Amino acid sequence: MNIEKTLKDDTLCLAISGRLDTNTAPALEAELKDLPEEVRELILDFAELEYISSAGLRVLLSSQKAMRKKGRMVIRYANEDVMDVFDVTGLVDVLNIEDSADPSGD
Amino acid sequence: MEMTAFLQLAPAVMLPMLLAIAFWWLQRKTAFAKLRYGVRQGIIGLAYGAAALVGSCTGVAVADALVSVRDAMPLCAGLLFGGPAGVIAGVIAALSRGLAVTLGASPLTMAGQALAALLSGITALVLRRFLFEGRRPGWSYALAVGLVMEIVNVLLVCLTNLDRVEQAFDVVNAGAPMMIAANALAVLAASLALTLLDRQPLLYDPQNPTIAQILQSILLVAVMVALVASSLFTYNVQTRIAQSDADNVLTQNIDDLSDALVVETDTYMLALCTQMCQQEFNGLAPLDVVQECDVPDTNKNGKCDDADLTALLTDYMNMYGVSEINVVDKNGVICASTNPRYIGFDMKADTSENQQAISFYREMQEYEQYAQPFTATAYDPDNYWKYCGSRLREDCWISGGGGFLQLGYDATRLQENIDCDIEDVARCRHVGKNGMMAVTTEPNDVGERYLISATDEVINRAKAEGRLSEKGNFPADLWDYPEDTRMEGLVLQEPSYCMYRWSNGYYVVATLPVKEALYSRNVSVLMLVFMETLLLAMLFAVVYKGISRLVVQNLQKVNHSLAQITEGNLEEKVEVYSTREFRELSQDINVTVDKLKELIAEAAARIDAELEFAKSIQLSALPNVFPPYPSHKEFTIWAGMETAREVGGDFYDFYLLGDHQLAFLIADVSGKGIPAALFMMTSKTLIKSLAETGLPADEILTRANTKLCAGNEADMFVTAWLGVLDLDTGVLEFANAGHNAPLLRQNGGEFAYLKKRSGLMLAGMEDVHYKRFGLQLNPGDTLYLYTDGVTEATDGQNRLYSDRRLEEFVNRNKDLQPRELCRAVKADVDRFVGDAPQFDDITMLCLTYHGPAESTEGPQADPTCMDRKDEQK
Repeated sequence: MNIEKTLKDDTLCLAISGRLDTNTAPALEAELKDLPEEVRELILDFAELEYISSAGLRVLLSSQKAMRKKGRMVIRYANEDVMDVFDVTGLVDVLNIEDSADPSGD
Repeated sequence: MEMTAFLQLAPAVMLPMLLAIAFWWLQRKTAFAKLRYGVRQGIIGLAYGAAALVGSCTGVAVADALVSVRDAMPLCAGLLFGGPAGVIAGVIAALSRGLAVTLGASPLTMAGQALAALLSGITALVLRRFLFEGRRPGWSYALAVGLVMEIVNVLLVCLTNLDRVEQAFDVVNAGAPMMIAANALAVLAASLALTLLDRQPLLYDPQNPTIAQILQSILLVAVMVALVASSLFTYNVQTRIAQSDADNVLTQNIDDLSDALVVETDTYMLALCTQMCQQEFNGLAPLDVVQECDVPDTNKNGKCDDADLTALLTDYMNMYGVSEINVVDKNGVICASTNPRYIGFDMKADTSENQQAISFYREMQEYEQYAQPFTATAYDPDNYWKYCGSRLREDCWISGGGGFLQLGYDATRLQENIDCDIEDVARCRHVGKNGMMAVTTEPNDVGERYLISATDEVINRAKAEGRLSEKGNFPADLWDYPEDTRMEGLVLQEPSYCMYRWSNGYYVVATLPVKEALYSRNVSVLMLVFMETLLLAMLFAVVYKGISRLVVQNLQKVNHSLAQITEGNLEEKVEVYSTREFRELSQDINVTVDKLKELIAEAAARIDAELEFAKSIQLSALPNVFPPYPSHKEFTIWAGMETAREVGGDFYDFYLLGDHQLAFLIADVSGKGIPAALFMMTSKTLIKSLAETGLPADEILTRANTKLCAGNEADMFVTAWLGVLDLDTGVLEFANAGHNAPLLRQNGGEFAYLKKRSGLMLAGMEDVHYKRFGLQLNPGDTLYLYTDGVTEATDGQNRLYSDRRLEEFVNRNKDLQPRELCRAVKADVDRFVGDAPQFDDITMLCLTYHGPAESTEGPQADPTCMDRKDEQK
């Protein structure tokens, strides 16, 4: 997994590529824990994210909770597999998801 | 003079630096580096050899020595670029020293300096290879080597000229400081240039020093203190010895000259005395004397009266140029004198004022002639007189036979008479090599005029050099010192040790230039400093090498082993047994690692045991007796869990609610290990207790979520699929909290995913309300639940087992009983995974509904399908 950071004004964009699983989730968790104070909007760019496991979901949920207090968290460009996971776990209802594949739940 | 000389040397001083920069550039930017090592060394050696030639030819004469920058060249070549280059440059430098003789360099020092040049090259090779381990030394070491090599050069010049050591030392003394400075500067400039070009630090980091650096610093201070102390001690002792030697030589020379003066004056006076006796007094009184006397009677030998004699003697006194004449008769009584007061004076009279006279009388009783040393007169202590006497014959007319004639001189009178006789007395004398003897008359003004006699050579040289003046050629305060005491002052404008003595009416002075007096001291102190510097250098080398061999290399070995151990290789052994300290360190480390290994093994065993225990608790919490309710024929259920670690986060559960309902669920806690296991136990207990209150499935999950969210500090969550089956009617109500959709097979058809809109996983967020779905199961319908450990099992190529593969597999085996189906899926997953490691628990639950217990007839159709109702909402 790789994380690419871009901070512009109060908007932090994290482009995450590769697999977000038990092994890599702690790195993202550490990254999100040390957010700069001024960040009001957190954008997670999942365009290059191949896979997300429950450990990854846990990090997203924690971050979502934290960001709700000071602004908002947006997930962008999630692919179909990732959207499936969000769909199955019910996270589609909780997360702000933009510009992503259609959830394949019918 | 010094400055201009340095400017002349500047090109040769800069040359090694310029060459170093040039070769640095060549080695990095051109194909020079691709040449063979030998060829490169040859080229560098020749270049520095040529530089040595230039250095030899541009030498600068300082006093008697030719100062040149030569030894720096082979040193730079050898230390900075490689041993062979140094040796080649050294050979050329040695030959160039021979050439330099034709340009005015001293042939005296040729052998020594040529040897030193050759030695520089060889030393550079040896140092680079064995001390610096083939690497370029830092600039401080290069500077030290440059300094020491020049000192060796100086010592070699002295050693090769032991038979002319003074001459060699003069050359060395004149040129050595400059030679050492110039060569050291050349080496320093070259090595500094390379240090800067390579962007290496100029000084070692005081925060992070090496053992060798600390020890060398301490050693440097200690040896410098010893060097200064021993030099000061030697300096003082040698100064005292030299001054004592100077005292001796000055005193001896003054003794000699004083003796010579005594001889001169005594000889003169005695000759005069004898002459007077013979010509004037022995025999009968001359006729003219008789006539001149006022003779009262006709006695031919008649006597003149005292006044007549005094007048006569005064005539003689003036004629002979003496100060006093006394005639003493054979009874020791003065019978005639130039001084009428003395007439009748008894020289034998033993009174305190008469010691001089009585001793004179006694001497005259024994000897024919006697010269008394200058003595202060009894009546005037500042008035020095010298007396001499000669016996008168028995026929002497004036004493009446026998007795003696006494002549007296005061100092001034005597000098007037004998100055010309002692002019030569000091001319050929020497004090040491360049010291002067002088005889002078006037203590207060001792210019050239008053120098009666002095060492010709010294005076002539002073005259030639314009150092001889009318007055003040001796230090003005010389005469304030007591006699025979050494003092230091300017003699003929040259710092000298001086000593004087008042002798025979003259001041006898001996001088010795300080430079000459302290020559041996200077030689020994300079040699001592040089030798001790060499010693310091050798100590440095030994400590550097010794530390490197005994400590640094061993430490590196230990560190290498420790690095292996920290990387987890606990089998690594430290084996440095060269010294006792390292042997003990090695053994200690090995014992520690062994102990650590033991502790780790113990801890691992303990944790293993505890985890095993935890696992059995966890598994025993799940229903694991099949069939669980043998009396209930309405359904067949089977479930199993396989954890990736000792304890897992998945779970399944089922229990009867009353007699007619079966609740069953499968769940997956986020995360792994103990935290997940603990969360799983909480969730399982909570859900079961909620289910047993008879709540519908959606309400169970909603309440469970609320409880799990409270105090969920670790942000854990759990996905769950919960179903409640009415055993009598076959109506299944279920709710899903983020779990994978189960596979359902109805009416003998295919298995298909039962996809219903899922709620958020439990403990994810508060205030989530789950939906309840309903479904009519008919006898033979089968529901298969699983966790993502099945669908996300990965093979060696990181491919997922996937929903599609699972669906296909269960459909190929759709007629298997729950237990067999589960086992078949597990076997297929295992096959798929192969040797790839798995990180997730695998859990599945399979339920087949057989219809109500009373009758095995068709299902009780319930048209009010909640499923549809919900979908309409």
